[in-house]
Amino acid sequence: MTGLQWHERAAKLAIDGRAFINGQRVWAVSQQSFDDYSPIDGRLLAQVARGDVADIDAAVACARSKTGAGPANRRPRASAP
Amino acid sequence: MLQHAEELALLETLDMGKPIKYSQSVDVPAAANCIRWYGEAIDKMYDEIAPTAESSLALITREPVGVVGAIVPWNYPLIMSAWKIAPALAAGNSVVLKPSEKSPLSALRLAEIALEAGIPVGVFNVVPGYGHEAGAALALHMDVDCIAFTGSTAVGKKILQMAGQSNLKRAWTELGGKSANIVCADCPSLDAAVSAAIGSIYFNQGESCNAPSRLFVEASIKEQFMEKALALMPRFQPGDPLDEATVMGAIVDAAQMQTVMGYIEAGKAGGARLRSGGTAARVDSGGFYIAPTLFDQVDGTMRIAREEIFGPVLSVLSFTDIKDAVRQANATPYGLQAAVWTRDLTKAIQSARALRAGTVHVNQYDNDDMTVPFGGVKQSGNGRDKSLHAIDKYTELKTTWIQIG
Repeated sequence: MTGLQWHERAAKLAIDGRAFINGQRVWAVSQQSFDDYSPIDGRLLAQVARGDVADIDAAVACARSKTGAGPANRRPRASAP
Repeated sequence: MLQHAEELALLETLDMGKPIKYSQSVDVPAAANCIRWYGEAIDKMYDEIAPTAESSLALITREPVGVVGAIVPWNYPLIMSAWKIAPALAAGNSVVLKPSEKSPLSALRLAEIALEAGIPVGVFNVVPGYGHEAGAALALHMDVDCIAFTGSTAVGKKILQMAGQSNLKRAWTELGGKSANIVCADCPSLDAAVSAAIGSIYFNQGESCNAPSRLFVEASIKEQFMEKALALMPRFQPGDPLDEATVMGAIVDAAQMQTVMGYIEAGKAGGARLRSGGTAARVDSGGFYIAPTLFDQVDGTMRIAREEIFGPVLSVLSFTDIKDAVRQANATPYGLQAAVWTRDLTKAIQSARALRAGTVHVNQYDNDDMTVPFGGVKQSGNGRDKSLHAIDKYTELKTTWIQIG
């Protein structure tokens, strides 16, 4: 791809700056965000969710709910030879 | 990841300024390979039975630690994310990843792609934000079992403190460096040594924890070395990162640009001889660029020889005695990497043993593979990323002691 083509792709790129918790895109609980600029030319790329304690609490609670007991290297029962 | 390779490469380049050439050829494939490697490795790992007395059976099994928090920097956003999440997820943990506020986009997209690829919902979460807010909340959290951090030594110290003041979560840090590259007069190829010294310090705009930022050249070959090195400099002039011919892109932001320019001023003021660069470049672009900068006649007391600059600035020192070069190389709080170039096997091995670093390169600097551990000693951190050893960070050993008869 030429530089021009990459610039065209960049201009069309849909960028989502929301957090990703429990399989879903979400804004910060506080609704706060920050601007993410590109160092290439100073263009604004996206508004990004400004996570804090509340968002970390939600993500950790979600992560905890997915943990279980057992070995680290178990295989699925139906694993074929 | 490979299906979305172009998009991920573009996000990486736009967000932190590295050349698209390398986002495509290095960052995306290396991150994808890391994830594949741990996915393939985990069911080849066996547990142990301890050699106890006949009346008992003692099983030693590995279990996931539980919830892993990962905080990664902006210089290699995808690769650093992969180095943390791949072994952590493969070992059966759930992960909350906090990417740098300077480069959060590729990690957020990675989480979506992971879900599409079959990672169960909620097992891999990404929360962007600032270090003192989201990062601190993760490191202080009472229900996070392990925090894995890559970043500066100053923040690494805070991570360990926060782990200690909360729930004593396991804390693993991969921190700064001031890696020494020692080139002896009997190096096997002067051209190869020059090419690696220059290519490695300017790769990724010098924004690499393992950049060989202190170059020690034996006095008898110093001028010849410098002549060859200076001849390479035009190749590393910064260009548009979205042009595939560009090999040096933008500095990550205004703050980092200011830090690096401050070090360049300190180098000049401290009496080092500026032989290339030292100036901002592409000033009309609206972005942040610095010409590849080389200081000669640096001595070990100067700030540019002691502190991690994290920019395209090389400090050249000279030596006459290899033992003295190794002593100077070790005279730093850091211990991430080091290199020695010589065709004398004894000198190479003795130096490699004496150098206090997590990795010592001999007659090369850039070789790399998923199979080898990456990390530092002293204030460059603890624990290792990559290789099967990284699994140790994200698992606990359980002993199950069974009485027989």
